[in-house]
Amino acid sequence: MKILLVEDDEILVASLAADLTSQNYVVEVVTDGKTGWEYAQATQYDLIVLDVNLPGMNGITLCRQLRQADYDGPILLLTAKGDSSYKIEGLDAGADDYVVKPCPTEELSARIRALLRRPREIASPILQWGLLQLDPTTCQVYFANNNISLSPKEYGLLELFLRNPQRVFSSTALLERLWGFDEMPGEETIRSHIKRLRRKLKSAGADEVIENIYGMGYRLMPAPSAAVIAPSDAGETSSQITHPEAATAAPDSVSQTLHPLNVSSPAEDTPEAVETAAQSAARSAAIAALGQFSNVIVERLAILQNAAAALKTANLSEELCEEAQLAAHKLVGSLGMFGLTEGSRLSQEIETGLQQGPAVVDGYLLSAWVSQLRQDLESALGMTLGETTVPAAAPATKVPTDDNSESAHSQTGSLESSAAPLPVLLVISIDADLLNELVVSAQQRLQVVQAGDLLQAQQQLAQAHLDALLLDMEILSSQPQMQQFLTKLAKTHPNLALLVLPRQDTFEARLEVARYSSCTFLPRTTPIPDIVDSLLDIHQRLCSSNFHILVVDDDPIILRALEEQLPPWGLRVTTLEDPRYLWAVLPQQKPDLLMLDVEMPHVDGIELCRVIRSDRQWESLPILFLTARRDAETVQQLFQAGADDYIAKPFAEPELVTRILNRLERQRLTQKLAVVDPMTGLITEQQALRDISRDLAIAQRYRQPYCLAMIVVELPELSPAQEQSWLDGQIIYSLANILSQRLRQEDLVTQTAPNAFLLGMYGIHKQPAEGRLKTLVKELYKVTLKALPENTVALSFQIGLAAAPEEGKSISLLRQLAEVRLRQVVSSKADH
Amino acid sequence: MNHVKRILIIDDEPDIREITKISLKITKQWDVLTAASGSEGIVIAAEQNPDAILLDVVMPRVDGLATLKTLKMGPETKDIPVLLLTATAKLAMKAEYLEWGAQGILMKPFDPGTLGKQIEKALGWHASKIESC
Repeated sequence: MKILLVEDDEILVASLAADLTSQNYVVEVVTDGKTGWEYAQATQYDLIVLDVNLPGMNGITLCRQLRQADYDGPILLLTAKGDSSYKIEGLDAGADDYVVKPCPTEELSARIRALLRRPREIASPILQWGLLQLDPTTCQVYFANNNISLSPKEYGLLELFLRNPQRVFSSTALLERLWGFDEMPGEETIRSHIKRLRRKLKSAGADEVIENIYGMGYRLMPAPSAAVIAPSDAGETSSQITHPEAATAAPDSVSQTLHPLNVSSPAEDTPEAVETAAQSAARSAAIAALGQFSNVIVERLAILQNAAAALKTANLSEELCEEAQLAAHKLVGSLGMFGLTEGSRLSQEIETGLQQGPAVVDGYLLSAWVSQLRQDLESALGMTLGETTVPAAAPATKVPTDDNSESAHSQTGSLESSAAPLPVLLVISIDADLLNELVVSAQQRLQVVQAGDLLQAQQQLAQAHLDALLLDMEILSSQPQMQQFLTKLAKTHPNLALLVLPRQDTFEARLEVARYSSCTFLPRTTPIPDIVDSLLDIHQRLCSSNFHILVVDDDPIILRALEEQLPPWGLRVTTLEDPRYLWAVLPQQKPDLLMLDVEMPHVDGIELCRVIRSDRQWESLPILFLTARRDAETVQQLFQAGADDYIAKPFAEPELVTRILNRLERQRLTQKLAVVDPMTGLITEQQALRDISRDLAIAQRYRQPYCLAMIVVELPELSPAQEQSWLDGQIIYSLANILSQRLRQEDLVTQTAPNAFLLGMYGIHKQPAEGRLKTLVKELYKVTLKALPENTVALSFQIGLAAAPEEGKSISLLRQLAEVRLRQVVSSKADH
Repeated sequence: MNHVKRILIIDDEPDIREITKISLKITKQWDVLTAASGSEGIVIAAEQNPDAILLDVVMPRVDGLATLKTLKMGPETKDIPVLLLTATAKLAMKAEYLEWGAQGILMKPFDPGTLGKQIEKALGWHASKIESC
């Protein structure tokens, strides 16, 4: 990794350069803007640090100029002035982050590291190749359990290869990226470094990590993996076709494919080489074509998801079941060809499961499979489904986007940090010292809450809004427990900054944790302030990079342009060409903002917008229109349909980005919390309380009755297994599902505790409300009983009811009344 | 192997058709004709007389077996070798396909890098000099 420092403060530069060099970065220093510009033109830097006040050309101008010249790596601005106009000007000029001097060198280098981390590494900061692991934070390399000691250059080489798995690096490219101007050695130096690196890796057990591409350079070999595409019953098919070569030649992951550039300049002229190159090219081309079909894949996944949902409520029609089987069947074939073996295997499992019918596979299992499939696909592709950019398709001349694509959007993060409330950290630990130190160290930066075990943690997670979680593995009694907790957490709280403190810092422990979730692993010996810093760092990145934009436009050129322009701003883009699929895609993608074209075949954008606005779940989704028509009538129509903003085509990138960011910021301020609880699919408590207050006011104005009810499920004697199944959320999910289905449109329901629901019912008097509740609860009871093992458990439902206006007019009073009136309506004891 | 081979792929999945096209074009420089349904495939096969047909087994309406039967009964199409594409490996089914004159069965997912080779092998076409690894 090569960094350019453009800074005239010699003292700061010297200490920063020393610090960065000690972390194996190659650092070059220049002291004025003009030279900085020349350096940046001459060679490729992974990151540039610019002082705002520079002789020659000021930092902001230089930054703007660099961006205009298509430098897309991260830029960090430094200034002595804390003036926010500078800050905004700098960020507008294209800087990714901004640090006010004086600041400790450590902080500066931490910011630099943060900027250099790619989004992929948010999931796993450790670079991995088979059993080989490189940890950029500690600069350590391990193979299996063994630490491999590498020189800084060897480390740099390995890191570069691991970060760019498909790229061929020529000796010159390696020299340029890892050696400074003043030390430019010859190509033989590269050879000897590679040789030494190989020798060290080999003696540690990692053989054949880097390969020579004759006449071109070096490249990371495909990671050793057991995945093989071959029919499971190849033996039985001997009379037909067996394809032994498939076992060795089949691509088992995206990263295995050769770069398409091999087609134009085959490494050697032997027929063998030509053939191998052609095969690789075909595989690459296939993977590159995946982008064209992501809609097809999304569609198939949507069918599977629908089937899973229907199966959950025992509503799976024969037709849908068949449709889902077909969808799974198709995924088996196509995913395998795109090199996604795991996805193909999972689809196979889903297909078989569906064939065996509901007796064997229930909705939850199927739903788990489907979401696993989706996750696998997304992670294998490094994108959200629906996106059409595919890593393998990146042109060879471009700076590998994976180094820069994040361009770190601490921009949004740093902008909001001044106004936002403190992030909430949940610490799951019983270590009192750790807790005290954390509280002290996190003062004014994090709000700390504590849970002594996983059960408490689950409750906290369900009740409060949390931003970060620190898990002390000391409190875990068993491996499966941790596995379950982490797997579930990844699903319900994907944006939680997660840090794990292991019992012992071993490779196995890291591997175990990395397998189940995307968290950061810190050794127990880490100083507490560093833990706090890491947490804040992860949190900041998560909240600035999780904006997700769905674009619907029938013009593929626009879609492609947006896919290129928006990601550098921390905006995740999913595109959809056919507006008819929007309804299917929306619930899965859950975008933060929707961009719609006005004129599209089948359904126009204005109609779509109206439909979205009339749906409760999506009524507040920000919608931005893209339109070539600017006449007053169209614009008026757009706003009438519920648009939040519109942008005229052709659009300039800065304007577009500003509009999007403005919209998102505003959305975030008006709605700090999610409206829908992902666990239950119900609206969140906060949102429900707001809505109920509103409905109460309306009821009062129109002299209508309003009832508030509590439903509480009691499981007094829980065996560990039952407790698990309870915590699993399956029962809660199905209860929530029934509640939301049975309620009338004007009613509201939310979950207020793991076992409690709050219902608001409009226009109904107390007596009929009680009748309805009893029927409802009987249904809930049946479902719960069925979901629990045997009927051994003592299970009961309680309801409490309060009516407005006669018993109270405020929501808090009604709620208190309902709570004190809680009484049993059904229980298993009564039934048996 | 002097003339450029033409392969017809009959599959309702657009991605499979596209990949087949890409794969065979790049690795073997063959031309690929595509049909999105069994009935379309039967018409194209009769008109274009391709060197071989790749036929998907699971398709809506006219499925692979029905298409195969029709192809094998048609005077213009009965001699075109047919390879079936399937992701399910049920033996009973395979026997039926082979009875109906399918030349072989290719398992989905196939490797775009070696699909051409697999086809050559299955049909006994003289492959390139280099034997597979």
